[in-house]
Amino acid sequence: MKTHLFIPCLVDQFLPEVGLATADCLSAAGCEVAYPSKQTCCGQMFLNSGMPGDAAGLARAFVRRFADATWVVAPSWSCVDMVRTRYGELLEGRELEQWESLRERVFELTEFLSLKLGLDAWQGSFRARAILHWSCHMPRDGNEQDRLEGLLGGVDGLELLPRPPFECCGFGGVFWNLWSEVSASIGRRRLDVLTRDGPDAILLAEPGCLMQMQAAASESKSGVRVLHVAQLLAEAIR
Amino acid sequence: MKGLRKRAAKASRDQVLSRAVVKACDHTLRKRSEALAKLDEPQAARTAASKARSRGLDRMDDLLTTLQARLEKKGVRVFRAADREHAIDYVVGLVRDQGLSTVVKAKSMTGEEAGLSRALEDAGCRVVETDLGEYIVQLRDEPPSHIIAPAIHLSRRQVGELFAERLGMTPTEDPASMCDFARKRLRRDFLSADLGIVGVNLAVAGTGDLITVTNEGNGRLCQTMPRVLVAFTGIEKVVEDAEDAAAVLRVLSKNGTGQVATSYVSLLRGPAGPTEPFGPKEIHLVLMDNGRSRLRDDPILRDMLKCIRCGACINCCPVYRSIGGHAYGTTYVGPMGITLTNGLAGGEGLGGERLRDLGELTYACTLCGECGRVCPVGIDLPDMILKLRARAPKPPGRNLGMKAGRVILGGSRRFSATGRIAGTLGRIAPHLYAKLARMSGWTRSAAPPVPSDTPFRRQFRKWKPFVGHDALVRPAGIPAALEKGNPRDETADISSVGPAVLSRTDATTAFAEKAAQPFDAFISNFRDVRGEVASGTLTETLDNLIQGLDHPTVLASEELLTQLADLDCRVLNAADPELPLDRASQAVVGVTGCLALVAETGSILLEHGPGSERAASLLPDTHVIAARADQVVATMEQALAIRNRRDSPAATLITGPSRTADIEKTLIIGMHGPRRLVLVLL
Ligand code: SF4
Ligand code: SF4
Repeated sequence: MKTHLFIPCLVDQFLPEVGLATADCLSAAGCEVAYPSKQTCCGQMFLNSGMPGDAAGLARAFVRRFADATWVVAPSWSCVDMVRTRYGELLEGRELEQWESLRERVFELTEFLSLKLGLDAWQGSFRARAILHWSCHMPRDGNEQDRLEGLLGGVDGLELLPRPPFECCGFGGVFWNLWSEVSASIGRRRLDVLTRDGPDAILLAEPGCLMQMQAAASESKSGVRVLHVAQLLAEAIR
Repeated sequence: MKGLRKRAAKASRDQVLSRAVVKACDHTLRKRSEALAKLDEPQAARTAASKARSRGLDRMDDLLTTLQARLEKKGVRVFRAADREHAIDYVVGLVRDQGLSTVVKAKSMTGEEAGLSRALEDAGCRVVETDLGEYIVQLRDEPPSHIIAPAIHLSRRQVGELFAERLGMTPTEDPASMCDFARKRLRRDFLSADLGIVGVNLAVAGTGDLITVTNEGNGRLCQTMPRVLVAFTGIEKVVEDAEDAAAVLRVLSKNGTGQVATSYVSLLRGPAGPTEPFGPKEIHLVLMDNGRSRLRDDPILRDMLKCIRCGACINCCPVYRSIGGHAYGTTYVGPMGITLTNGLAGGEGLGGERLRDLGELTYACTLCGECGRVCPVGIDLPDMILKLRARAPKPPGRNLGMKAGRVILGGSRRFSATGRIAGTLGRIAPHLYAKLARMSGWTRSAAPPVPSDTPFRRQFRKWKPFVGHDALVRPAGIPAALEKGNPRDETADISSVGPAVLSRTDATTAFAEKAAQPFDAFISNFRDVRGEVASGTLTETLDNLIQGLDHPTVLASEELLTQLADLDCRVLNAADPELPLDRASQAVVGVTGCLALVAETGSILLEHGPGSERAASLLPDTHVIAARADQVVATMEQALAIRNRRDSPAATLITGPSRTADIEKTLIIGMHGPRRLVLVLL
């Protein structure tokens, strides 16, 4: 099965290891992995900054770049959500048409592994007590949440702590840009909640939140590892 | 608006503030989940409430005309105020004309929006805020920091110190003693005030009822003791009929305070009769527009008029939780504050402050989406905020930075090159890098992240497909096409905040059982809200209650007097036109009948008017209700239908004794109204 990686701009520049882990996971699951190198950004930050016109330009480019792909897979729920639910308002004409079929083929990594590849439990081993932070664009539906936890549940030695009450980590893209101090204070509060039961690792599936929690964790010197789910899955089978 | 961002940053450094706010909000959200779990169909309740509000808005002009006509027929004076100045002028004119000097005021966010209290004080009145939270912030000379919990930002210690300093109370950290102290002081004001002011949660066009929802009993006292009453509210509060009102009431308190119902839902449609010893002889309804009509024509913000001011969106907002309410500098705070402030009067005059840049307010948001998920009337706040950002003019500097970003991201070469330069600079001169990051408007973060020296796109060139793990080989047969709804679907989990809630099946079964047994359901819900069910007869119960008291007085509804003839105490007729206030206010027990018992919420429906009581269920410490088991009705709609068949000027749905949680969310029973509610089954 041929997959095309959609690597969000933050991952490309700041978290390349997350992109590589994503490629590893797909490949381990038997997929062929391609990376269209002309891609840059889905445009989310422009839409969130009140610049829909600029977001539309990037949306057009995205659709053109991925129009021929069978499956598009990304390690970010929010970028996938942007493509799936927001492009409709931004595109028109031919690109709108292309998008209408493309949106059905764009997936977040774990969603792709379980829904499209039918993997209900990952393999390998990773010794850790870990807690999963549910980012804002991750599923809020109990069944979908169970599915993701089930995928992680297959990993030997991984103990997943109970789901904490939901709260945003405070990243918010443009919010972090402009309201940095408040953003950091929300991040600290989230870290406190997530580390209450002393996990060895915090797992995330969203690049922005990952950076936010990494910053909070390194500031607090709590020693907790902050990992993308893709990194855990890839490490487990290495 | 630098001011806003600076205030917010400062507030976010205040650990005490944020801790108090988060603790209180979490507590309310937890209770909210529990209360919603008691509904058999939370999603249906939400849809019904949303539709009820939409209907009200769609026909707002007609409904207001109907409402006004109905109320005027009953003798209520209705004033439609175009803006806050007109609204204030009207009330100030009223106190001047009639020489009113002491005002007891219940909570009204519309009043806050207009700056009503300040204006009355300037006109020479003594204005007493009687909601405990409002009372506290008034003593501190601060605005409320939350629309439902005005003193949410304060700890019990801070309130104790405030009461000691301003009121001479012996310093304490015990909320119960503080409440008791405030109760005694404020009771004097209630008995002597000549003007009461209350807000209105819903105005029912079909029946002319003005509905005010409170917990402490202060709203009822404001509506019962002073001769003149002003009901002060916004024009958008109108709903079509009692059923729509019930649909909104069903979700309001569950989402707002996490209660199944608040202690008091007052329904008022006219002044007290000339023979009534208590109750307002004169009622003025002020319906303020102040930008609401304009909001209705606003393509982005129209839905904000559906807002029922429950505050749920505020409680879950990560930004609010970090900075509290005051940093916003606006009357309405949190998510609904961002949108409303942008809509109402262009933000001018809100809380007396003119915002320089409403656009910046829209950035007080991470776009986490939570506010939209919890809103009981389905307002898509995050989407509004996003669209407001697009509409607001952007500061030139920021625009430039973003435009540059857009150019860089326009091509993968440009993007890579910029990353390479930035990465190198970040590694060799981190301070300069941070400075440039700030100047370019990219980020104000003290330690901006530095791009990797080998971005993914370069590393991928050397990446090798994964080999050697056959356990992961894909199973045969790929699942059928993805069956997955739109992730933005409105049906998203309504009770997704806080700890796990009862599963749907549990809740449904529970409700089915309840519906089959309305009487049992009533008793169980009545007990849940701390109602007591007496085991003896009416006289036995009263004998017990007054036993050992020195010359006790009982205040009773007229229809029960004959049954109380044998009691060994003074019994006053609550409907006696000559009833003197000083004697009535000494009563230790009030005894009333009721119109209905409501199974859904454990509430009791009482009516007030000539020949019935207003004070017996309000002034004494204990309220005894005599009822028959066949008075139980299943739902709020049925109770309101019974109310509508009567012509009395006022009615109250009572759910448990009076209560407050305004100090650190500690529940204290018996704030301004009765501390005990005892049911005697006849
Ligand atoms: S979307 Fe914005 S306003 Fe709404 S809760 Fe999240 S941060 Fe607050
Ligand atoms: S916007 Fe919705 S959640 Fe917020 S106060 Fe209004 S009704 Fe409640």
